[in-house]
Amino acid sequence: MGTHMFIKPGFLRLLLLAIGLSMIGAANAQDMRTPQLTLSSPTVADMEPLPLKYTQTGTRPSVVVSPGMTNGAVNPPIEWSNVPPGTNAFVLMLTDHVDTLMWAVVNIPGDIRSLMEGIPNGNESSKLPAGAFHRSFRSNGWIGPAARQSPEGRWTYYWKLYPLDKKLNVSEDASRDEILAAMEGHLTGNKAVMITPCCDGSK
Amino acid sequence: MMNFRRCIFREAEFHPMMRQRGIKKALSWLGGLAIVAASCGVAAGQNAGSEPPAGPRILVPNPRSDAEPVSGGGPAPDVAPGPGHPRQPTIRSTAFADYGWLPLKYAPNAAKMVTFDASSPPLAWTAPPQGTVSVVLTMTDLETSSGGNPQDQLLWAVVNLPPSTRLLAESTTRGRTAMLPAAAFQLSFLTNGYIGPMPGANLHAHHYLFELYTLDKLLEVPRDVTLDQLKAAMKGHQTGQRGVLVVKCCVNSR
Repeated sequence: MGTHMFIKPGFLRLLLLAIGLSMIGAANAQDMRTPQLTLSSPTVADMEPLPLKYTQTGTRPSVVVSPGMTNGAVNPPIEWSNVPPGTNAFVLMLTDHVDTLMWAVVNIPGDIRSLMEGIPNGNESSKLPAGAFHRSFRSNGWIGPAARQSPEGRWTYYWKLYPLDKKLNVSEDASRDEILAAMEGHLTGNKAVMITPCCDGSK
Repeated sequence: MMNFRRCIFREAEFHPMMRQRGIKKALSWLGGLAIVAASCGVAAGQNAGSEPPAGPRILVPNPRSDAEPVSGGGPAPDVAPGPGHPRQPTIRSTAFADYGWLPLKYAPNAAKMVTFDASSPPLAWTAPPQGTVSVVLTMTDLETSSGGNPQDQLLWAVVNLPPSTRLLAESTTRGRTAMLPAAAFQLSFLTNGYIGPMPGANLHAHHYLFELYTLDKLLEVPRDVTLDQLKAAMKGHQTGQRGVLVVKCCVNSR
């Protein structure tokens, strides 16, 4: 008598389910083996308030906002590791929780692993990696958070580093949406995230 | 609101009746009116939400969870209004701090997919801004695999909560449950309830966002709505800034 006589459809379904679940397990195991892209900064801690030297709040004498106003805020140094294979470019974006583009550094070459502190506005500086450009929603460089230190508003700033398989073909005044659209389908792995609240509690 | 309108209608037809018919009939109507008025009072208490002790306490029928009122009547939970309130509702959890670590209790799937009945964390928030008709809560993972579907970052959404709801009790049961107010429903990208951090979060910390959107209408979205569809449906209907609660999981979670 063949063993197939004892196999009922219900058992088959169970068997298929078991195979499916084990495949999910295998996929997870693969995730575990590859270290994830990590974004960090020597001077800024993840989930901690952004230091005041990087903010308009801490460096500007008045709270009056006028376009083109210069302030002493500089960008913090940023570094990353565990870059996925096949990465030829990076995009770093800093947005707040209402999706304002606070800083974007686009087309960072794939062999770069860090950004220096205090990259000046404009794209000619040697502090900026070759071929990259940067901007904010209102300037061609770092502008810095302007949230108040008194409990007026709760502002959360999201740093996201996207590893890409190629440089983007976007203009130097590209908006956040344009950059996101251009990146679609070109990620080589997970984006890395860092979150800094500002500026209540910043020092 | 509906009940309340009906009450006014009953009251209007009561007065001519008292003139035409005898006092006995009027008294029996008065009794009926008293009952209707009482039920109206209860309904009004539920709608107001912030009225302290008026409404009934709705007990959670799920024996696994603590018996807590989940919506409607009773006092609003004790959430101190934070920065930005009331334009931005303040959302908090008693189980973890803002910018803290999500307890492992709420992340059973962080190492390996083991259950579709994950226990959701308790959440409470302050009153939404004026003109809010419905409230949507979402929980998203900022570090989902880029190789996967981008909709997979939706780990929890509770849609069409009434503005009177100020808290979700711990372990909000999956599916259409008495723990949720009538019009509300919940889902994750994978289930009809909270799923929590997915495998991989035990090795590399992920950032998770709880977002509380206050809207000027009830959403007409399917019960298996995707994150993009949900965002598209909410666009242009927010009554204020969304409340945000940020946690990490699970490397240093306990």
